[in-house]
Amino acid sequence: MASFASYLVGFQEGAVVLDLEGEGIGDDGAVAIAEALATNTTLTRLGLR
Amino acid sequence: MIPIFHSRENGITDTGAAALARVLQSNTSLRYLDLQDNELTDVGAVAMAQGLAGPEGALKTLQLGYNDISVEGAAALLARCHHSPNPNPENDGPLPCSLTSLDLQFNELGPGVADVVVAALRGRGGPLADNSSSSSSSTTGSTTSSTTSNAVPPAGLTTLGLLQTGLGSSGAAVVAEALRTNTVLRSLDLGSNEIGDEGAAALARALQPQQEAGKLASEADDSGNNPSKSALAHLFLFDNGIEEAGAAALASLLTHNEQLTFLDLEENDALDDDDNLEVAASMALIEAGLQRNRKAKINQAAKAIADADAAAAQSAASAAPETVDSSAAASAATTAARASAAVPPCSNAIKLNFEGDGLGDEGAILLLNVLLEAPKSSTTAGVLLPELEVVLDDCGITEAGALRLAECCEAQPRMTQLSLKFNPIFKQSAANFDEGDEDEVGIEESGDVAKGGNGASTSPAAERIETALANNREARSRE
Repeated sequence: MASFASYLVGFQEGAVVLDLEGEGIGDDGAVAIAEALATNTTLTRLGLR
Repeated sequence: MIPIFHSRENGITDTGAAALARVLQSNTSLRYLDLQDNELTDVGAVAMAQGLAGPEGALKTLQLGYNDISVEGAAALLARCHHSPNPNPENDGPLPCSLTSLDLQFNELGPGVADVVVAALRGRGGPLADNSSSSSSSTTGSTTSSTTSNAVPPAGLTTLGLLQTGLGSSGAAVVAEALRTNTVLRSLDLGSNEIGDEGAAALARALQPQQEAGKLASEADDSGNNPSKSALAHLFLFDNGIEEAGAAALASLLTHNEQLTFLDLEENDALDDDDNLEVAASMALIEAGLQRNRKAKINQAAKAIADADAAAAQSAASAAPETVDSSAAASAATTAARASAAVPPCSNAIKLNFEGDGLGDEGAILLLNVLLEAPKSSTTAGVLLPELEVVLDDCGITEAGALRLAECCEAQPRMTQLSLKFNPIFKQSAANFDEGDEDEVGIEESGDVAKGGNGASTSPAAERIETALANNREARSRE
């Protein structure tokens, strides 16, 4: 199973757009992303479809 | 490397949605959040509604389609999107949120969603809030506006998606009445809602402009409603079972309505009957009305540019020193002031927004002629003229039209931004791409990237546009 850290690479690299469509991240992934969003100031578009 | 799970959706439930909602108020950069096709229920929708920041928040677009949200969840969300910038302080409800676009498509909301849409359009608990005197510097609706960095946008949704939500004809009639007094909502998707001729006619009546509806109101409107002053420009009535009577009502609307520039009537099978002359005549009138309104909007752009240039000149004149002191110190200060006044630090741009107006290549060429007629020098009589920023997203522009726009960007140095997202620019050369069905080109908001939706090769037109805009911005920075 993939580490949630892999979803957050974009945050670490200062991405402006992050599209995780169909990645099956589930609630745990969403929570991890929410935590990253709390301190993020660069991401403008987030796709979690 | 992000792993691939081969799962269409992300499986996010109310728990994940609540976690995301909790950071929305503190996050200052996220403008677009897509949570479509997950497992959100009303609990998640309410959490999102509670998490939305006030009118100065970052988030502008929220996509919640294809979830399990009912009318209760929609009510919570829309209650935060009301068009009331100055709510009654005695009302303990929350301020309007920052959202300007909300999509709830393919959630089973039912006809009851009409009432919550009406409440949002009319403002919380009272009559419609008129945003026409808000801090927005818009001069011609949303066609043009000077970009001012600290302006607080008017509250309320400009785009609402209710595709296949079970609205029905009765719900459409209720929403229609609210549209009469809507001054904010510009795009409404009511596709696949079985509104039929009855719903189409209700919408047509409600969107009649003041002078025409005034005649009707004086004769027969016993509901107390005012004639329409609706700002609605894009109406999607895809797949609604609309037939001859509905088409006739919409044709009558387009004879007088000057706001609508896009009306989607695809997949209403009866309207494709070429043997029905009544339907054909109505469809021709509808198309003629839309074309007329698009041309009028393009003409407004010419006036907006002229007005902005004149305002810049006037601003520079008023900033120039009125008297000259002969002392050495004052002379130096005056010289500096003159230099500053000669080319004032004008950061404003004039933004011409035609998103979703369906201009096509023909309209794009009309527009570029307007752009080329504007003064091409960045300064005139010592005045730095505003930059020209053009939005042509989702306008049906092909590679041929984009090539003409590239020529415009190369010939008009004041052009610094051109957005062409969601246009079929790649279709004509799609055979050259291994990726196949590329049908969109997105020039990112920064104006620095011109890519297809799958990261495919850029089109020749997009590359030329990108190069020209970069050159123009660089030249501008040296002014």
